[in-house]
Formats: sequence, structure tokens, C-alpha cells
Amino acid sequence: MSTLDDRPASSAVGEAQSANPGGVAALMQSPVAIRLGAILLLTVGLTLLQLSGRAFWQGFVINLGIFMILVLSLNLASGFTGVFSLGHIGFMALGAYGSAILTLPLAKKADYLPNLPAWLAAVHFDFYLGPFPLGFLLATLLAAGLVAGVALLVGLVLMRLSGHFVAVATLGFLVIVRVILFNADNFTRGSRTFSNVTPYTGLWWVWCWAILTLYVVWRLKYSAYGRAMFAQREDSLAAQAIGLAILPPRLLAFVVSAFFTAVAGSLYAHFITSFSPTVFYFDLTFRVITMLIVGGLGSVSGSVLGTVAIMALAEALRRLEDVTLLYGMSQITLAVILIVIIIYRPNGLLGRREIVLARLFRKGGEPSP
Amino acid sequence: MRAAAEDLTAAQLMGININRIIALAFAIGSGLAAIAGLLFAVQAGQINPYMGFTPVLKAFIAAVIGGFGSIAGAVVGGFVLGALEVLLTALPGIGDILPPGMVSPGAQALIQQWLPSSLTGYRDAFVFVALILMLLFRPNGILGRPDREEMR
Repeated sequence: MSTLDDRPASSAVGEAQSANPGGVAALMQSPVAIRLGAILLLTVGLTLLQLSGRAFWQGFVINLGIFMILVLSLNLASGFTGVFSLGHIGFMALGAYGSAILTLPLAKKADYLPNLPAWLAAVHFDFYLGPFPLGFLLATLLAAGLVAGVALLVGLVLMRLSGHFVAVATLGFLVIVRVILFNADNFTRGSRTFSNVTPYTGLWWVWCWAILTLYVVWRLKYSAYGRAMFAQREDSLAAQAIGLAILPPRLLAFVVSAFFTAVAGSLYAHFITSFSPTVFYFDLTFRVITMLIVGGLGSVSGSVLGTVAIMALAEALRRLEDVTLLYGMSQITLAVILIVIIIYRPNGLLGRREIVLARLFRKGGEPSP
Repeated sequence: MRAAAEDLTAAQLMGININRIIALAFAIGSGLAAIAGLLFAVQAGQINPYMGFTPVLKAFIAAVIGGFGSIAGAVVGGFVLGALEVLLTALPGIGDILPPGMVSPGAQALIQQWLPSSLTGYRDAFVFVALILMLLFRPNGILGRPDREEMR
């Protein structure tokens, strides 16, 4: 499950080590080997899950992957730059609706959305390349690309604000998206449920995108762009004084994060197959923010940990609820646990630190050089 | 209370028990909100557990528009927001108020098709656009006084 990487900065050291002959011990310290090992482990786990045919757990793991993408990208936008966005679920909604409209087969589209403009009614991304649903991939990329464009325009305005103001303004963006989705009947069926979406999303789709998101966010964190994001978050005056512009790193984080949020929206749409604008609102917003804050703002592995912790806890409590018949207790307990975490670990479980797989192994083995 | 709002650490150094002040402010604010809730429920004639959400959001917007920390600002913000909402609901759409003959019939049809005949559905969107404009151009609200840029 855990797919945490070594930081790219130290990979040169790691590769030098792995070049030394030394068998398993040396291999255990090579970040590349550990990365491949983690991906292999995940692949084996997913294959087993796929073969087991347990629909419930498959659904749970798909949801886990989707939330991981959401939390990681929100971390990029909010944790790295300190610009707190409450509007990301709006990007998710746009991604979900955009890709769902694109993948709808022609016959269904004519039936279901009769008032679409001609150019949109004629496109259908439901083609396959052999067994591979290429149309779904293209529709996701197209929708996410469009959303990234929207994010660029919105970001050019909103990323100039900071503090509480940007939170309120992004919240405004969420409300505006919702109002538009409700009123653009011709495209979204308004407040009626949008169903008939082909269920493309499976374990592999979600986890390939999740790994890609993890990789991109991780690389960004230790790139020059990422350091600029953290610098202007720590002290905007000092960052400006050494010649860092405030807007470009914020905008980059916002746009990349909107792209992946839209991807998560597309995956979600093709997973639950029917939804309405009410799905993408405060409830989802606060769930993602909870996972982010529990994990730690600015920590990539914290996002992974926070998502897994909250999802597992919520599921365990829900089961307990079914046994004890105390309905509603799970939400209360979850809220109390959150309050306790915030009081005792105000920076989340990990704060800004990272769990580094290679270091975990090193502790068990010989001391690091 | 105002000292604590200005600078928590400095207020503490002056011997003010800031935790007590914050708790007190929270209690008074909650009490006033409960009175508003009572009035709201009596006016609406029905209650549900989620009824407080929209008013809180709107109160927040009104506070931003009027200016945080200013009592008169809260009043002004509330009135401005309320007037804006009612106007957006009551005014007809652009397609309906254009005098006949001002634009060609084709353009008129296009406007009526693409611009909503009433803005009611988009009310919240306009309110938030107004809010975002407010935040960009007068972040301290109508009556708030401008902050000094703080150097640390």
C-alpha cells in the first residue's frame, strides 16, 4: 500500500550504493530498487484484490486511490504554497462533468442530453484500442486540460490574495461552479442526476493515476519550483527580497493541482456512474481537507498516511456502528478524534516531515554512511 | 477584546487573560447567533439540522463586504448583501428589458437563448463574484481601515 519514495536529491548516493556489490543489504538501500519494490508490491496486492472478486473491498481501494489523488493535489495547492483553497472540489466537479459528457456514447447522448450544441453532440470518446478504453484516457486528459485552463484564469485573479481572503474567494469559486452546473441544463441536466456514465474506472486506472500524482507532487516538492513555493509560504517578504516572484509558483501549484483534481473527478464519475452537482460540495471539500490536515500540510507522505488513516478509521467505525446499532456515533467519534489530533499535533501526523522508505530500511540494517 | 484582536502576544504581556477573552467573545457571539437562529426559525416556520449553513456563509460574506472588526461595517455589509440578493431576484433578464428594435431580431433571439431570462438561478454566483471583486480591490471591506504591511 505504501508507495513512499526516497527523496530524489539523495538518489545519486543511493545509486552509487546499489552499484557496490553487497547483495540484498545494498539493494535494500537503493531508492530505485525500493521504489520498484513498492510498485511491485502494490501491483501484486491489486492483482490479488482483482482476482479475489470482492466487490466491496475493490470499491474501497478505488475510493482510497481517488481520495489520495485529491489530497495530494490539494496538498500541492494549499500545503506547499500556504494559499488555502476551499474550491478544489469545484475543479473535481468540472472534471467529472466534462469527461462524463465526452465519454457518453452517441446514441445515449442524443437521448439523454438532447440540447447539446452540435459540435459537442457529435464527439464521443467511447472507442477502444483493442481491450484498452483509449477514449476514456483521452476524455480524462481533455477534461483535465480544460480544467487546468480554467484554473489558470481563476488563479491569475485569486492567487493574488492570501490568508483568509483566498479561502473565502476559493469558496466563492466552489459556489459559482455549483450554480453554473445547476443552471446549465443543456450540458449537465441541471439538478437532475447525471447517470448512464460507462463504468470505466477500475483499480488499475485509479492506482496508475495515483502513482503518477504522487510522483509529480514529490518531484515538484524538491524542484526549484517547489522550493520557491515553500519559500513564499514561509515568508513572502523575505522571498520577494531575494528576488522570488510570489505569483508564478502559486499559479503553477494551483494549475497542476487543478489538473489532477479534475482527473480524480473523471475517475470518480466513471466509478459511481451517476451523480448530481450536490455530490461535489462542502461535504466532500471538508473530507479532503480533513485528510490533508491530519496528514500534515506540505508533507507528501503525510497526505498518503492521512488518507489511509481517515478512510480506514471511518470504515472501521462504520462497521462498529452496525454492530452496536448506535447510528451517528461513527461521525461523532471521528470528529472527536480529529479535534484531539489537532490539539496535540497541530501540524498533522507528520507535519512537514516525510517518511522515506530507504531510511526506514537503513534503521533496521547497518547504519547509514 | 480589541487589544487581543490586535495583537495576542502584546495583549498577554499587558496582563490580559487572552484565553478568557476569546472564550467570552465566542460565548457572546454564539448567544447572539442563537437569537438570530430563533428569529430565522420563527420567520421560516420550519427547522432542520442543516438550516444554519447558508446563513453562516452569508454572514461571513457580509462581514467581509462590510469590513471585519467593524460593527457599522457588519450592518452595512448585511444591508448591501441583502439588497444585492433581492435586486438580482427581482430584476428581469437582459433579453427582456432591451427596448424592441434596439438590436436585430436575430441578435435578440440569440441573447434570449444564451442569457438567462431571469438571474434568480445565478444569484449566488453573482454574490460571490461581488465578493471576489471586493476582496481584490478593497480587501478590508467598505468600512474597514487599511492594514499596515507588517514587517517581522
